[in-house]
Amino acid sequence: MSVEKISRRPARVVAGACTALALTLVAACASNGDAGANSKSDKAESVRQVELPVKKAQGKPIVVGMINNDTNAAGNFANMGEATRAAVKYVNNNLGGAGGRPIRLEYCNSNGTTAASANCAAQILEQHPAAVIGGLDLGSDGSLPLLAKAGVPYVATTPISATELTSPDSFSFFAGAAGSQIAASVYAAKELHTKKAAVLFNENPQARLAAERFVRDVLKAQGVKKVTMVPFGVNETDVAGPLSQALQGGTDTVFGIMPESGCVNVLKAKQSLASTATYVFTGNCAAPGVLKAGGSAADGSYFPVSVQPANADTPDTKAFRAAIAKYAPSVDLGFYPESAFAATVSLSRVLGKTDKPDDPAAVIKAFHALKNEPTFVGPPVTCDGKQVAGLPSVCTNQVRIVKSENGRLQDVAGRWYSG
Amino acid sequence: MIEILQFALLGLGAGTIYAALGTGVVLTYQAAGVINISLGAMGMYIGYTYAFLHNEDLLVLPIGTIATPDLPVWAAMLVCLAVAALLGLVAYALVFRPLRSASGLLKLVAAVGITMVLQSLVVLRFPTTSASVPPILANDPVHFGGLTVSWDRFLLAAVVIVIAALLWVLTRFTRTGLAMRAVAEDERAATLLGHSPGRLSALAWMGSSMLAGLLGILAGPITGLDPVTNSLFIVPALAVAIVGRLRSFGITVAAGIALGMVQSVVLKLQGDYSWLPQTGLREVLPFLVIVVTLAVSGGSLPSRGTEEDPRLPAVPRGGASPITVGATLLVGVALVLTLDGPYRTALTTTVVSVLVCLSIVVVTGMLGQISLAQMTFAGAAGFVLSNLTTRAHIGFPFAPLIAVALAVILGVAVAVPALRIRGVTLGVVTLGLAVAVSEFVFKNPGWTGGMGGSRVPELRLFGAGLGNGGDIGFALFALFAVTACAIGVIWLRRTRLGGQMLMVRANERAAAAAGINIAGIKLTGFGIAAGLAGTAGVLLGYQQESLAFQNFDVFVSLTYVAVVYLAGISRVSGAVIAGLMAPGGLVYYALDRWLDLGKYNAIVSAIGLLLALVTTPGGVAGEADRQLRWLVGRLRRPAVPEPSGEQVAALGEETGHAVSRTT
Repeated sequence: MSVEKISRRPARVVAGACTALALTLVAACASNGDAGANSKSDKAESVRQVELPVKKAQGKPIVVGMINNDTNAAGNFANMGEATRAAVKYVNNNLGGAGGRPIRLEYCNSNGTTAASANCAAQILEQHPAAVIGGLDLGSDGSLPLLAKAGVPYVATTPISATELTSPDSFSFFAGAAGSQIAASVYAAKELHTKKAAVLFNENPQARLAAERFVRDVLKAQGVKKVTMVPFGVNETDVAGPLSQALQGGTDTVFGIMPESGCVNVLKAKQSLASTATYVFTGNCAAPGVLKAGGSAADGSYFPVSVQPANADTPDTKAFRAAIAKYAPSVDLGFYPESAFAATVSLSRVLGKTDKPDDPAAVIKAFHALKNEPTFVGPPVTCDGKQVAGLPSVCTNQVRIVKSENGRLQDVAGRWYSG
Repeated sequence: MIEILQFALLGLGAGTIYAALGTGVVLTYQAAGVINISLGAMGMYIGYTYAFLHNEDLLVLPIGTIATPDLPVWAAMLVCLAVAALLGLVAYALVFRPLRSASGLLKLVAAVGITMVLQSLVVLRFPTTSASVPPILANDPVHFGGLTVSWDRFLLAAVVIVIAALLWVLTRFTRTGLAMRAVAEDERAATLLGHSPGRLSALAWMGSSMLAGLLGILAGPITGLDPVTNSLFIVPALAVAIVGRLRSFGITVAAGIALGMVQSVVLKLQGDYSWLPQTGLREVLPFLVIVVTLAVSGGSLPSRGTEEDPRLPAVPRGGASPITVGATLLVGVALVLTLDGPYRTALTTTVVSVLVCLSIVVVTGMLGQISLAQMTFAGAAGFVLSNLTTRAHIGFPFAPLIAVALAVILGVAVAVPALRIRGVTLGVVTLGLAVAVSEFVFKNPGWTGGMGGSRVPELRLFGAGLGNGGDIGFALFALFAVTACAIGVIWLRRTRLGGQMLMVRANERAAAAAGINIAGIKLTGFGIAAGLAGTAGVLLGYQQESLAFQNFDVFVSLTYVAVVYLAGISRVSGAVIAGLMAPGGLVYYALDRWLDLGKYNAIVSAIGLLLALVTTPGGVAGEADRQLRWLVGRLRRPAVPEPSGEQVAALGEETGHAVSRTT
């Protein structure tokens, strides 16, 4: 058919009609949206800051390294680096340093690959650090072997990789995903009276093992007879399908093990399916961005978090808020930056316990000597390699159980909760 | 049965998304000749733009942010679709228009670059990646027996079907649409008829970007927003576009919806029957769809009658001399011994990366087959090594030899579909394979290690430990191993087998006519390349002393292909340059440290890649070789006196000038 033979008028009418139909479809079926989920950002509450004491450290600085992904494929985590820098200033200016001496932070930004992480480790080792703090580093498989070989302790703030959780001389002041899930599972069985549970998790080896060992097996040990396992791919297009599978058979509690974006998807799917089950997510999903993106769907969800919520009324949390306001006012008060801040302050206390804080071997010895040692905004820790079975790096199995209500997190257990 | 149907309905949302993206792939391929794998990333970027415009009254552009008044939904959508159109136009004008005559692989690599730019832009420009697209379509729950489906899935499917119908009308009954079909059939003839392929390509890029953007806005409440995972939606979209033979919008939409429904049914079956594989089964389906479709269709897809020269960069004659190889080895040894700390670590990464790049040089540069799954072979060998050393306690050299042998077998198996599939289509098949293996095998804790991950003990040679990536012993071992492989590849180039591989690359039909066993050559070439990649996987395991599935995911493969193409895909020297430039390699690390790019590292790398692809499509090694030959030629040229006036008069003036110019 040649162009000349086409009668253009009917073709344009057809095209125009289809366009009008498409726009009409969209306009007619447009909902008003969920105002709760889509509300404009609230102005931050003004919080009265406590006055920080003035106590400057003196002497030769102790070198502490940090490897963090300011940005990686999963997002922007520069706030963890900022929070750590703020913590160093807090320690040096307000706490009198680590054993009286200031800390000098050697920071390396890695891009999330193992090669870059390995380069960062080698770069930091040139400065002879006493310890290295691990921020959110997706490539930690590359750095940890080098640090372990050099005998330098690694302090994980958000341990996610197998290497961080099991590497010798790796320590975590926080329960991490494993310990959190155990505690949350026990809480659900005992306090929420879960009868039928489902575990919805991102399909990757660590998440699957955590789902099986730290949720399913713990729930069954607590007498929950029916536990359904529902994996979904990291590039799952529509989580409503897996969630529907999870809700089948009258599930009353859904456990979610996934990164933050996955939590948002599950919350949205929960809303679209009008689910009335109770939801228990991992602690990383208690981040302000997730709660805001989840909107009203996040209300009523439980999270086991490794540190005291930043809005709590304890001396440590007040000091944290004041220090961030002073040294890093642009950093949000989410769990990632709070964990990084807390790990740094707690590390400074460990360094203060040894008379050779520049010596990594002495620092490792100090870590191993910790027994029920209080930490900054965190639980007491014991670094004997036995707090969570199979994960020798984790020094505690205690968490706070918080619940989201109207966009705010409430501590519902009122104490450190463990499995 | 009812439950099966209910779950099929639940898959409508996912299927619609595959259908919409697949439609965009078909549109861009038909009008512009590009398999645009950046559509998922484009949709993701516009989804974020809309989310922040609606939620925060901020129009976040690649450069700059504009505070806006509270816009109604339709206005915010129009603004975002305009941004999408502009992005599509910029991508075409700056990247794909200059590459119109380039090979299909180069265009594919450029699309990877666009994806990387969009991903890094999102991470940089949007304050939080935990954003949520507010729902536009009504999302009231609809109950089907015991199951609930949200109404917006049905509405979205209706929108996509309407759009596909609109595109069908466009390409059948409008001048522009017919021109697009004409260009797809025979670009030269269409140009003679007065159609402008450039204008049509630009329109297609703008249209497909707007389509992806609309999907990002309407489907965002369903898919969520994530810089990485949203980009991977393109893999099932490619599968359904292939079912539609990269031509039919209707079949593509139907295939997309069907695929989503089947995946949802498989989810139900996995829950009911525990003997079904529980890991990655649904993610394998797009790959199976691709393979079955191509097998049924005889491996051929509609090709476009374009002006493009599909040739890969030329292979140099002869290859590197022993002196060059020896000098390179000496420099490598000197660097290992003199560098320390992070520079030595980066050098070791470079050495291992060279081996991955060599495998790409063999399979693509020499054999002419596009494989985007070389890291899959590396991962297979790496995880086998981990299991053999930690569970079976088999040491060096048997464990790595067995691991590499298994990688070779896998490579030969993957070559079987390559016997009937060629060009970018083969690249798409291998892309699907890479995703499938990653989801089905590498993420299965039963095969790749438990809570402790996949450990690899220290490499020990004659009882002495060689250390890991930061140690001289391991660095030298890796250097010698890679040098031996490079020498092997250079020698292969000079053998009869190598010559036959080049003939297959140049023209398969002619090679077959000359009596070459095409199937045998392809199987052998794939096997050799897989063996090289497997060796790299083994070295990576020893370097890191642990392995994770992230080391071998599809984006790592794509990055290596991009870097090798940039460096020189037809040369061994290209593999060396690529190793230096690879993420974490020596040059990459040095630049990162000296320039201190910090959080801008990713986007600078991505933009740099695109710039380099556009300006040196023949590769850095090729350009460097060309410049070197020119320089040597100039230096060697003997001095010749200027012709005298009598000679010029005798020869004629023009000839005299010519003689002067050439001497």
